[in-house]
Amino acid sequence: MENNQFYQKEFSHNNYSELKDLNIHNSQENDTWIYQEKIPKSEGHNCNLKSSINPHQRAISSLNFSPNGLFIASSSADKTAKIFTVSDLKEIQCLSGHEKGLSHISWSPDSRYVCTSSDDQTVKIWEVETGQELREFDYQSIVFSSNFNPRGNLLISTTYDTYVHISDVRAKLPLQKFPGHSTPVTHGCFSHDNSIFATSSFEGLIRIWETRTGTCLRSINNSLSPKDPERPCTFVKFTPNSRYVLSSNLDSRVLLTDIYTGKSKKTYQGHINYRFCVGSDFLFTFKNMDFVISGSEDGSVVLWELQSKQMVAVLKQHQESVIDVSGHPTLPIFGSCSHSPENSIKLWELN
Amino acid sequence: MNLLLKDFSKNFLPSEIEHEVERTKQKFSLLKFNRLGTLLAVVFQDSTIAIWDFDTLNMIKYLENTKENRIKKIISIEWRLDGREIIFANSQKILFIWDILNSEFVAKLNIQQEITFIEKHPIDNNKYLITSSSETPSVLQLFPPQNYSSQKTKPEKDSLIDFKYKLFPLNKDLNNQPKKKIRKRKPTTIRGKIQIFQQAIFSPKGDRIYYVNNSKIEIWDSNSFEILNLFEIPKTEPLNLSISRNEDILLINGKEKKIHVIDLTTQSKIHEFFDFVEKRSWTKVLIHENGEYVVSGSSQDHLIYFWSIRNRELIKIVSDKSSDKGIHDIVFHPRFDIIVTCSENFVCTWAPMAQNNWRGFGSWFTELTEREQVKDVIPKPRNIENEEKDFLDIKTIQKDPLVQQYLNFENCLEEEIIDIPLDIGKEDEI
Repeated sequence: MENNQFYQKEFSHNNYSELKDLNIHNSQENDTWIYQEKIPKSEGHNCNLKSSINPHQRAISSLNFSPNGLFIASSSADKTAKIFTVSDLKEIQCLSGHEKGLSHISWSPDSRYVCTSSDDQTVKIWEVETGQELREFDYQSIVFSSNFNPRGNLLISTTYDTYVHISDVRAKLPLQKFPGHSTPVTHGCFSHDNSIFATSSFEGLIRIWETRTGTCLRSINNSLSPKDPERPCTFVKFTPNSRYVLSSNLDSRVLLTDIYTGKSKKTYQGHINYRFCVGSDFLFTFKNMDFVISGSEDGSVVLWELQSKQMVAVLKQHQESVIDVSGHPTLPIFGSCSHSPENSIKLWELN
Repeated sequence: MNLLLKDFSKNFLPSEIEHEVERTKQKFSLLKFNRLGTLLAVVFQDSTIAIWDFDTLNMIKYLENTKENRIKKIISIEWRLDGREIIFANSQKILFIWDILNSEFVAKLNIQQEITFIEKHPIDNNKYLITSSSETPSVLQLFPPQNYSSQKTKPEKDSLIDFKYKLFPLNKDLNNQPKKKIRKRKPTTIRGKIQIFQQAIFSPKGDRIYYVNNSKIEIWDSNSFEILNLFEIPKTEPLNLSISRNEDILLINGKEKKIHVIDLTTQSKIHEFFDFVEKRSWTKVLIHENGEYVVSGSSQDHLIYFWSIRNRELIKIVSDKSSDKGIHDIVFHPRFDIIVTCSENFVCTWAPMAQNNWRGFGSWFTELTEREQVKDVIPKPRNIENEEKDFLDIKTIQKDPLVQQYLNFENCLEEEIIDIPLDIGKEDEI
């Protein structure tokens, strides 16, 4: 029943990426999905706001640091994507060419190319240095996200029509598509050694697939217990050793799940996430302390310590929901971007 | 490590076609994988070389056969160990070394021997084993100039680096005295295509060379170039040799259509495989790394035979019905149980039959045995605090020697290049 309500509301939106809205809950049922737990706060960590800019005219849908740590890219519902330098947030490229708003932007492993996915049913690959559009793949359905694999030769794109697409980056035509789920697929990500990839979908399942053959190896569901319903899973990412996956779910939980047993090993709570596809990310610092960052719909950026699950900081500087966060690959810096009408990108530093 | 999620099927023979690539304008002739199996070098019959990305089977680089190159006809090809250069021999006694990344020639060596097969040393980047039609097989030792490192770019375009080389012929008798030179016959041609033949092979660790010389197998030391031992086998003219990874078994593809299986521990021939029904001749014979089964490709039809070493019999005959021309080349993938074959118009990838893993779609379901009575299970409330106390290791990559790693960067040699860097130009493609 709930699913039917969802699809009806979905088609009434004209520009999906403007809102990334998955508003299907009833206010009465809301309480059962948020697991109430005392969340202790730890001391000893300070976060400072480094800089803040408002480069876009509409909501910013995703934010990503480049693998070499020099640039940060943002995509927005105003049909453009922009690339900035990390040191002073100076805009170096503005990539325009899509006909509708963008949902996602991601980097190639050598930091030379970015790929943008958009509501106009295409994925485009751009060269960072010149800003030129090099490739376009047409998938005949709204594309939620697309990511490169660590070798840089394959692209995984996930679309609204429940298909998962694997494409050759160098070719001009998409390679292979296969039915992955029974509901729209929100995010896809490769493991560090290119052997498997993970996809997350609205039905709350994370599926692990083998790259070479395309067979499904494992399915993980994110429900709290067999009695509770499954809530949409909107983001999935592998840890550096590809043993665990970090996922964001629409019951305000960020989970770290073991892919072999399917059980969640860590649960991070304290933020609010039941409407938008809010992203989360890791932050690895040189002091051997690891953190998990997530955005929240009350405008705050939440930071947890990875092992102890303690909330380290709640940074409330945005006025609107924080849609995406991104952790720098090497420095203790992270970025956050927000919804309209604020449309700002903020960079934070961890001490 | 991540492939521990997969159940390896009992059917281990790579007998199902996974991918097929067809080319009507160009005809295939040779195939070769680089050390880690990420790139495939494909040679066409008009002596052009293409480098394919194995994940996608799409072409990345291309070497044309122009009048300036003077490649003429390519007989045999081999990758250099660092994965950046390719060495190949043509019919005019010249060895070329071509740099893939910069798409230019590094060196051209005039060997003065007609080469029919070149094989690289497993560990040493500068040693190659050459089989010739007019001389005894010899080891080619390359001496690159002192400052030469494959990572550096050349100062001028179109300039060639002066590689010095020395040939050590395997031409001594048991007392290590040089023998008289024997003139050999010229190689035969099959339908206009020069038949490649291989008389000597490196051992898997590279310390020894096995040389099949008429009715004897001679064992040479590859560092001092001295003969260590020899033993007798029935007379055969070898077309192609293959050795198992633990140096147990040597396969000889004989010209008389027989596959001889030689046990190197007992130094005797234990068996021969032969097609009694159709009396097929084999283009190439390969033994699987573990020494369990043998793959042979027929030279007239597109048929692949699988033989078992332990049971000494034929296991399976597989054919690709879309083509009726002979198989020109077969190669094993270095890390997976995959075979790639090429015939005139097709390159096919063969893999073990994939089992439909329906369990992957519903991993939380458990199978019930018959007559098992299951009562309604009332789920216990999860005590999350107790369950999630453990320390998680998210960075160290676990190694599992039993499972082949898809791409283990720690296995790389110094200065090895696994992949051609991504370079998407706007106006490229063929």
